[in-house]
Amino acid sequence: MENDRRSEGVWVETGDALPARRGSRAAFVKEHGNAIWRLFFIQSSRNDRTLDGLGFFSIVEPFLSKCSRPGEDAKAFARRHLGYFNAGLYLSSAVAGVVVNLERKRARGEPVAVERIESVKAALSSALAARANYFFDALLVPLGLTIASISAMYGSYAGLIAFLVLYNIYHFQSRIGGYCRGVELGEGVGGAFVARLYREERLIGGCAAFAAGVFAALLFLRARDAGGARFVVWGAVVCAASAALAKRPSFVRTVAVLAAATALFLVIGGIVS
Amino acid sequence: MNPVLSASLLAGALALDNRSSLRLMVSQPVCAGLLAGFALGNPREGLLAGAVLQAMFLGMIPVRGIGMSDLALGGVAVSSLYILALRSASVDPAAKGLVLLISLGASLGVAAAGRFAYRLGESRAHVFTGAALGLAGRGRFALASAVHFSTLAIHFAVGFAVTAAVVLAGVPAVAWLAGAVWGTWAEPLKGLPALLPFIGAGSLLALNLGRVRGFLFLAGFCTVMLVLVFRS
Repeated sequence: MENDRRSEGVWVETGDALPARRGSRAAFVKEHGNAIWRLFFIQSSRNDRTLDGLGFFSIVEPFLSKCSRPGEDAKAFARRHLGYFNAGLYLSSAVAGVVVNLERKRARGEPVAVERIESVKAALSSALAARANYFFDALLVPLGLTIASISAMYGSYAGLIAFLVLYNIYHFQSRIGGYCRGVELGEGVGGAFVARLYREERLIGGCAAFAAGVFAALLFLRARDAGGARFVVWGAVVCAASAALAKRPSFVRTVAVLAAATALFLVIGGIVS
Repeated sequence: MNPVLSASLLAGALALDNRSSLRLMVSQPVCAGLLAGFALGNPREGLLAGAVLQAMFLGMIPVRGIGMSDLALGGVAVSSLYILALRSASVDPAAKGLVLLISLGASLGVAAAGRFAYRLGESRAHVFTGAALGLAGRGRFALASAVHFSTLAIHFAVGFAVTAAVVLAGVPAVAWLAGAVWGTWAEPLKGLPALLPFIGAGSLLALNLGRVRGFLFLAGFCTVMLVLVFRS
């Protein structure tokens, strides 16, 4: 039994029901295809008051006629999902899948209260967003971009392609896979699902740190070749200053100041020599 | 195709990737620079300019509500200005460092302005939700949903218009500045591509200051150095 489940791959967790979509993948795509492409534009109308509320509504809107009766019930459905929504980018799809699952259960007459849907939506939003954002923004993207930058330093596109492939594997897994899993499991989607989705988190974090070290070392080598000890010392100064100022709110200002200082260093150095 | 139009169309498309949450990451400066280079017929210089901008922002991650600069537009702007200004007759090809510096300065301005425009848009975009609520109240649900997708056109238009304005005004300005300043002052600036990425290395160092990740950072650094020692 366990082996059968394990063979199902990344989406299988102990205690989960077997996914309904495997019975007919084509039927699943036909039913949810209209929602899946909309997942990729959820933040397009982001605003200060409801954040991604309108984007969320645009995802569940194809199910409106299936999950509510025409008239007031449909209007109540729309109002419910046009409200505040903030689940980050990567796992908002999973939340949308869960909500679709619950709304369909409710439409079938199962005892799912509207308040229950609202509370599950809010609870999952905050729980899933933080984990996904950390994985992507602090680990995967810095790793990929460091590799891309190293390869670009030597005029190669290979690192850039590797970055795009690596990132988008996880990206699509989170967004399309997260939605599918949400539709299948409903409220069952939780920490175990996210842990499995990002099970390489420590490895990616370690690789990101290692790649950053490689990047820094290569920069020192390039600086030595370009300008000798003078460039190496200035590189170390800029590196230290950037590390010290990295936590400041305006990163652009920090970058602009350090870039201007570097240009001044080169000009003055050129005049003196 | 007209180079300004090519760069502007590319910027519009990348603004969609960056702002609509499509987020395929093709809007990162290193990729945007390369694409702009392809669009303008010089992918190598495009990659160089985009990579320098990218390397400067490597350690920037959107945490604690800190807004992200619009690096997608910045990436297209720096590559377009750099490539098109170098093509200008008044610029000595040896003034590459100075042209890159001015282009980077302009692209930082574009990135900061893009962030400001986006924040301004966010503070006003509730009118779309209001319109959608009104339509939903009248039972026009598909139209309410369409209101959301109409914002895609705004993202495209902002990217297109900003880049068109920057490239149209910026290329002659960069070429003029580079032509005017070129000489003793500008020649040492050719070392910029070797030094500016240290800004990103520093912020990456700040990201990896923990015990385990700090150790791995050091391991990566020492590995390269050891390989160099053994090779020499």
